[in-house]
Amino acid sequence: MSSTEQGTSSAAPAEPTTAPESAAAPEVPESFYYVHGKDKVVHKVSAGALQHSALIHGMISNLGYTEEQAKANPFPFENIDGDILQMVVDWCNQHKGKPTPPEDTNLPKQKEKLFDLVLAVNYLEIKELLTYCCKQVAMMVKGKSPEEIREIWMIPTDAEDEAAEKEAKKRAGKEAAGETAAAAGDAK
Amino acid sequence: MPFPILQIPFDVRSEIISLLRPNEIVTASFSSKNFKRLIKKQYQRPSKLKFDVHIGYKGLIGNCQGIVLSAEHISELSEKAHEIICTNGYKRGFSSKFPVLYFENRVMGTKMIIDYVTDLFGTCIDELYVDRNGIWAIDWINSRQSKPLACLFLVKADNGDPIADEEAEYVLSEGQWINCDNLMNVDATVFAVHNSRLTDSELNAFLRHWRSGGSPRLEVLDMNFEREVLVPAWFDPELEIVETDEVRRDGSEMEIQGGFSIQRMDGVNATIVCDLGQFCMVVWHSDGH
Repeated sequence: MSSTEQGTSSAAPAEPTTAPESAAAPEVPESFYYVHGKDKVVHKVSAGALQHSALIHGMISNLGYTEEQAKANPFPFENIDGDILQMVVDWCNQHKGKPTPPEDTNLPKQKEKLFDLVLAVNYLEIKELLTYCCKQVAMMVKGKSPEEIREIWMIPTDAEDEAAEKEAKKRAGKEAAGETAAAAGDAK
Repeated sequence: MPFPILQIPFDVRSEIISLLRPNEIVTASFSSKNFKRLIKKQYQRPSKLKFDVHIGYKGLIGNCQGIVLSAEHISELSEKAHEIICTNGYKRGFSSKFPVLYFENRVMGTKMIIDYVTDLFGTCIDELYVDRNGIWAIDWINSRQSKPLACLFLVKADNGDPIADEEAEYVLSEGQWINCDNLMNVDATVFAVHNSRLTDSELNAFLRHWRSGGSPRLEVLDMNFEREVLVPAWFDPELEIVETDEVRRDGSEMEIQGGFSIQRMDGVNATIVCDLGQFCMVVWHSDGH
């Protein structure tokens, strides 16, 4: 299992870089947790950054892990692609302890990743990031005609919907007939 | 890059749809029948969402954020024919911000866009702006929704109307556009008339009608006149209108200083402010409007 730290690709976990603090501020030791996605690459993330995720924050609160236990038991998110989890971790780090601005310029620009990002962010319950993603999806159809919206959002036409409905009915009919025949066979 | 909106969880889709502006919601609803049904289920309508209808030579429905759908006469279509989609009984185009539907019959087209938008958003029409050709819409809208129109604005026909009939122009020039009967029969809370040609005796007749309990929901009657002279001398003494120096304000931002006071038989007061070519009557209902 390889690991990365806060979006870098170093193989071994290293101490995270922290925001500079004023000399007068007391040093508070920051706790870290570890997460990995489908690619098994482990990301080390501070508890402060993970607070954005209601799901992970809840898990941390319930488990009460020590640093060693956390390192030994990274949270597995097998349903999230590695690059998507990396995006999420980067966003959480960038917005750690900061009020989230109304418009986020740090959102990933790759539109092809937006669908997977929305699913991941929704699963991880990161409300602010989900709102930004939703805004980006809504922006996709600004000034577009109904036909353009249909293409952008992959909405089937009425004819396609009707064909799909017919096909589903045909399939359901066949399945029902099969079940009836099987039941009749069992009865014999 | 396409985004398969139908494959994302219900709550997320609902949030995306609710982020769209009303004109974008209407536009998206034309992409398919199923998607229209989905919008109706998943759009979280803001409680203050209200629509206005403008009926002139075009039918327009929109709100403070802009027009959401338009009905135009088929004769407007020729230059844009290549962008037109033929669908159930009408042709549809797109104006860069909202869909435009084309009809042979302007009344039918206007009714259709009102039905479409109010059904899609599950709301009613709040304000109506009509010229002489749209008078039919007052009763039609009031009869199809439980909440009556809040505001009604009667406006002069648009000079740019390419199919304005001669009769309409005649009626306007003869000053029979908004007559006293119209004024008495329109059951609106806010009623604005521009370029009115009502006479002094017709205004007195309306005030007698109001004083004896007519137009009970009226809150504001705001009129301006083509003639410049409008002085208090025309008040019928039987109306017992008296000059006042009171400063009154309603629940919103409206403030009236001075003017004339008139009392309805049931005790409700109204203030009338007259100026050159202007007549404004504000009714002080006991619930503060």
